[in-house]
Formats: sequence, structure tokens, C-alpha cells
Amino acid sequence: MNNDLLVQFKNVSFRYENEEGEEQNPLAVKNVNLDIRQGECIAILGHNGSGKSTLAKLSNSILIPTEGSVIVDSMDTSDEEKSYEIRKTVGVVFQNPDNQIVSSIVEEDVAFGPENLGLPREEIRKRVDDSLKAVGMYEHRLAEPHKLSGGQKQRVAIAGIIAMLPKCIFFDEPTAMLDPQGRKEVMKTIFKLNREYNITVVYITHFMEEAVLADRVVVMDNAGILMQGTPKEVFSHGERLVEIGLDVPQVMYLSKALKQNGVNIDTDILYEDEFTDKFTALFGEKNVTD
Amino acid sequence: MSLIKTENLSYVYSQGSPFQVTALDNISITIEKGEFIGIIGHTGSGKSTLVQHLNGILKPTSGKVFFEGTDIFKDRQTTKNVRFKVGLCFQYPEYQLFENTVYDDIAFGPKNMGLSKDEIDEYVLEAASFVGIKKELLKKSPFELSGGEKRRAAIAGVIAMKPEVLILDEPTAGLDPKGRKRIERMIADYRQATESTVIIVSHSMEDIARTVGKVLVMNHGKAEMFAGVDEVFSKIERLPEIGLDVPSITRIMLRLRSLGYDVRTDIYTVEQAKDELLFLLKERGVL
Amino acid sequence: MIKDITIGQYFPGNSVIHRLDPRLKIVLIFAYIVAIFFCKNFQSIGLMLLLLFVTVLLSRISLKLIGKSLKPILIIILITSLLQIIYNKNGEVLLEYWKIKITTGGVYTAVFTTIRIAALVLASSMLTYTTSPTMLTDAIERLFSPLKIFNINVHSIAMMMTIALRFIPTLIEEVDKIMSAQKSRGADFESGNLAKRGKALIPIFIPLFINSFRRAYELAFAMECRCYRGGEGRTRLRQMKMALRDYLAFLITTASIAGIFVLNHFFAAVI
Repeated sequence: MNNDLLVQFKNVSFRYENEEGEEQNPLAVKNVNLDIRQGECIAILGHNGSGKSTLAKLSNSILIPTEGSVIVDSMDTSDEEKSYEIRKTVGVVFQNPDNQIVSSIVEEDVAFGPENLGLPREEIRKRVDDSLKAVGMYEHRLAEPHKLSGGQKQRVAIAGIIAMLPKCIFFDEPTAMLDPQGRKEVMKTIFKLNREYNITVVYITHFMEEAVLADRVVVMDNAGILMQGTPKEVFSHGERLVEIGLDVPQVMYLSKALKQNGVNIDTDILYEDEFTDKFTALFGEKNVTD
Repeated sequence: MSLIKTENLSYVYSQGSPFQVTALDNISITIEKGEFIGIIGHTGSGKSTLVQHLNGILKPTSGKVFFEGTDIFKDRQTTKNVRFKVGLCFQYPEYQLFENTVYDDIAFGPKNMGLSKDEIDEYVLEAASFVGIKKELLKKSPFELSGGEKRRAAIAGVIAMKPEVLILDEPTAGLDPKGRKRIERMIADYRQATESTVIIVSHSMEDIARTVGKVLVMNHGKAEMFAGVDEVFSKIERLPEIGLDVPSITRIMLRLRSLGYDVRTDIYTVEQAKDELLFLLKERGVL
Repeated sequence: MIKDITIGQYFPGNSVIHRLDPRLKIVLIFAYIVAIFFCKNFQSIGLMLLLLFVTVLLSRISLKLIGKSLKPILIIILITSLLQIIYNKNGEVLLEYWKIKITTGGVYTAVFTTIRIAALVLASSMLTYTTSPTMLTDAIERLFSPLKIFNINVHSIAMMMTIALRFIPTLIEEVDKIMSAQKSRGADFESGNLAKRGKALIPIFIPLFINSFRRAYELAFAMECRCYRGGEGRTRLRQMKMALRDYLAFLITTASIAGIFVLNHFFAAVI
């Protein structure tokens, strides 16, 4: 049963250290329990400052829990000797693509990880090409990153992580700084990695339309996990989400408004096509065209 | 007399070099006093370049910009003065904070205007109250504030010049839903209280459709449409063609339309959609 | 605007010059620059100019751009030439007016200085124009790796250079943006005395530093996530191997440098 457990947060708390003598910082993450299984696609929702980003850094030993433990593929992240293996297993993509690209040429940047792993040249070449193809940036392999769009840069950053062949990738608000076009590109890439390459993905977001696309949604508030479940389960607590500064998809507001006016339609609708399907069903079969 | 007017405004980046790009192509628009305008366009459509011409930061390659009938590039003094009348708040303005205290940072603009100490104080406090920055926070370092507070403090730095026109470039970018709503409400309140002209630059119709009165759609440096929100929505099919997002509610209506239902597609709020769909249900005898 | 500066820029291409081994390029250009100062007559410096001209042609970089790279040093060239003409009193007198005496020696030195400075700038520009920054740092890392025995961490230095090069365009953009933002709040960078102008830079530099620290911090995390732990055990995507063209370039350059000494010997020195 537990075999497919990939990343496990066990009673994890984390506090950013302060300079001596100063007041202690509040806990950034408080008593979090979270199991991430092989192949899952998870969205973490939460308002700014709810502890989401800290969670990402705890997942691959960039930060070590103050209390509790994080187990990655049966390795404890507090074991310093394992940190290298852990980072090979769990990759993290950050919010600002500009600040994670090391090299002035796309393919050399993607090679950075495999180079650090000490792989032979041919293997690096293959991984770089494969990763760039996976994110759809192969034809830009010789481009300079600063001349690319935000979405393209972020895809280069993703390629840099997948070139290390991780089992799981945490995405820390990968679309927050992008325009709608870039957001779509990056989300499409994330789902492709999950579905076609069987990489476990966890993405942190505060866009509801992105969160509803995951298999499981985890909601963070006040440094802890407030609730988790399928998108339907989580968004059925719409009022609570709004209360903590989040939102629900527009389509849900619409179905609720119709229901209040006596229309016989579900109120847990999260997707636009789901809405149109259910709405058109109200007319029966005969009534479509005139 | 119109408040802001551009005449055949064109701007070319790095002219003469191999990297030459035409960012603005022959833009002629007129903005009247008190209007609430949204400028939308994909990245690189020229929207940010355009607003930087309205307060004289960028100088047109050709064409003119007028403020209250005066060419803003007539002489240096005119250009300098127009910056106080047309307040421009850049994208991610919190990355431009620099003073020791929030108060001093907000006071930077008023100080440059050459106001007296009392006036500066008045302007700063008023701006801070518009953006909901409490008095205690004014003594703090701007770098101690939370992300949302930093953003609002930075916006206050522009409002504090009491500009006649307030331009905000992507004011809600990167914020969570609560932060976004807060900024939207703040802008609405500010407009109501000051009756000033407000221009918001955005990537998507979703963000601005509910609030602004008029929309300028930019595409590859050209002004594609400049009309009331309803009129722009009557040509909503055009937006995806030029790489722009359509609000979720509008997408639903478009989808119903394509499925053969005779619904209006110039709809963008839950309220409008609800009325339209209830009407349809009643008409068909389902309800 | 600051964005228009071309010195140190790289212009991607696929010419022979672009494809030369960067290590060799560094060595040859260094040798070339030293050699220019050994030229004693117009024949030998002409040979060196010819070599440079052929290199420029082979690189297929537009001559307009090459001209542009000389623009910033025009003033330096003018001033030094002028000083040479006025103060050098060797050779025949060409013109005498009041206290100013212009001599052949002065004119020749002025011409040579001009050619030397221009050739120096052009040659080093050719290096950066045709070599990607990463190739350049890579080459430096490899060329200087013997310094390890003196406990100098060549890898770290090269890594720092790589990152610096990567972030220069980003930071230039950032400065541009901060300047525009502060100008929008009435900041004035163009008038006033030196002290006032210096003070006017504070609203630019403080945000720039703070943002750079934030970037550095985030970059460090990102590098750790990609298993970076220094140069040890690292392999490279790009291998550097000398090809036929490299040997040819080496031969041509050494032959030209040898040519200088021959020409210096057979023709009269003018300086």
C-alpha cells in the first residue's frame, strides 16, 4: 500500500531563523502532514504568505524541518549525505524564471543539472535534447534566455529540472509572473509531464482555474493544511475558501446564481464544458436548434 | 478640450540597429477627463510603451502627445511637469521602493514637486489612506511590509502627487485573489473620491471588463479597437485571434452559441449571464 | 539608451571565426594585440590590419556594427593623437606656428597610436562578438585550470563570470525600468551639479541592490536544486577539440606575427 509513497511530510513544522536576540519568527509551516504518491497531480492553494513556498523548499532538503520529518523515496531530508540523491528525485521550479536560469544559452542552461551530476557528455546531450523537446523549446536551444518570453523562459527552467530525470517536481507558483499566454503554455507543460512522462507534479498556485485541473487540491491557511481532497470536494466549501482570501471559479458562481432562481442545476460545477453540458441537458433532447 | 490626445504616435526601439522593433504604430487616441479606461493587449503589443509616452518618459519617434492641448514635449519643463499630472505606476512597483520609511517613500514624488513640508504631509497621509496603509506602517521600513502592503505603498507613492490622470500598469499582477480584489476596490474608491481619470493596463479582459468604461485593445503596436466595454464585447471573437483571453463567463456564452443556443455573447459578468440564461430557459418553457 | 551599447555583446553566427576553438581565439587575439605594439613601420602594421580585416570579413559581422564599436573610443583616440602631435618633437618639422611645432615624428606616432588603439578594440571586440559568453568563460576556465596548483579556484571564478554575463541584460533592463519609474515620480537625473546628480542615483541603486540580493538568493536555491556543489565531479556538455580550421588559424596568425619582424627588418622604422 505504501510502496508508491514518494514524498511524505510527517508533522512538519518550520521556522525561519532570526538573528540572535531578535524576536522569534512565527512558524512558516505548522504541523503539516501530507502524502504525495507516485504519479499524482496535486495543486496547493493558499493566499500569499500561507506557507506554500516553504513547503516546496522543504520537499528536497533546501530547507530542513524544525520539527517533524520529510521522507523522499525512503530518504530523510535531514540526512545531509542524502541531499544529493533527494534533489535528483524531487526537483523544484520557482516563480521567477529569470532567477533560475544560470547560463546565457538555453541548451547550456538545461545542461547545468546533468553536468553537476557528472554524467558523460553523450548522456548530457541526449537529456538536454529530450528535455527541450518535452517542453517544446528544442528549436530555441541556441537562443539567449533574456530574449525569450516569460512562458518560454519558465519552460526552459522546467527543462533544466527534467533533465535530471526527477520522479517528482514541485512548482512554486510557476505562472504567477506570466501573461495569460505564458500561463497556458506552462500549465500545458506541467500536465504533459504528469500524463505522458509519469512525473509526479505538485504545483502551488492562486489561480482557481489552475487548481481545479489537479487530481487533488490541498488548501493551506495559517501555515497549516486547512483541507484537501478532489477539486469537487474542496470547492464545495466555497464560502470557507473566500473567507481565507481565495476564490472559486466564475462558473461555480453562475451555477449557484441559477440554482437560487429555481433552475435545477448542480452547484458544484467547476469546469466550463461541464456547465454547458449540464445546462444544455436541461432542455431535453429535442430542443437544441431552431 | 480633451485631456490627453495622441496624434499619429509611433515609437521604434533601437532604431538603426539590427534589433529595431516598431513598438507603437501610428496611434491616435483621445482621452477625456474623468474616463476610466482599460488598455489590453498581449505581451509586446505596445501597451506599456504607450503609457510611458503619456507621461513623457518615452519620446515618440514620430507623432505628438498632448496634455490639455499642450504638446508635452514642447520643452523640458513641460515634459517634467506633465509627470506630476499624469501619474504612472509601473508593473511590480514594489521593486522600486527605496526610502528608509514608507512615509519617505510615498513623499518622494511630492518632494520632487517642490511642495512645502505641510503640503507634503497632507499629500502623503491622504495617499496612504486611499490605499489602506495604516499610520503605524508609515514609520516602518518599506522592506518590512508584506507583499500586498508593499504594492499598495508603491501605488500610494504615485497617488501622492495628486495626478489628474492615474495610470496603473498591471496593478494586480502576482497577487492572490484577496489582494487582487483589494486593489480593484481601492481603485474604484479612489476614482469616486477624486473623480480623476484612471487608466489600467492589463493582459486580460477578465480583470478589467467589470470595472472600466472604455477599452483600448492593442495589437502589434496598433490600436485595434478603442470603444466602450459593450462595444468591444460585441466583437469578442476578435480577442482570441490577437492572443487575448476572453472572460470565463463570455467563453461559456460563446460555447452555448456554438452549440446552437441563441444567447448573447457580449456578456461578461455572472449577473448578466444569469439573466440571459434565465430568459432563455423561460422562453423555451424549461423554467 | 543603455541597451544600445555593443561592446562585449555577442552576435550569434556560424562563421569560421565563430566556430574557432575559443581557447585558441583568446590566445591568438592576445598574441595579436601584443604584436601590434611591435610594428615599427607602415608595412608591418599594414599586414596586421589586413589580418584583422580578413578576420572581420570571415566573421560576417556587418561593418556598420564594427564601426559602431569604435564610436565610444573615438574621443580617447582623438585626444591621444592630438597630444602626440603637439608634444612629440622628433623628426622633420612640418609646420611651425607660434609655440606649436608639428613634426613627422608626431604625426607618425599619432597615426600609429590611433591604429593601435583601434586595432586593439576591434580585435577584442571580435573575440566577444563571435564567442558566446559561456564559451568564453568555459575557455578561460580551461586555459587557466593549471592555476589550481596555486590554490586558485578557477571554476568558481568562471562560474561567477557565467552568472554575471547571464544577468547583465536582466539588470540593464531592471535599471532602465527603475529609472523610468523614479522619473515618473519626478526624479531628475539630468540636471544639477555632481553632488546633486550623485544623490539622485540613490533611488536607483538601492532598489537595484535589494533586487539583486533577492535574485542572488533565489538563484542560489535554484542552483542547489539542480545539484550544484562546486566544480568537483562536474562534466561538460561542450567539449573543446581543436579542428583543422584551428590549426590553420594558428598558422596564419603566427606567420603574420613572424611577418612583422621580417618587415620591421627590411623596411625603415618610422617610429
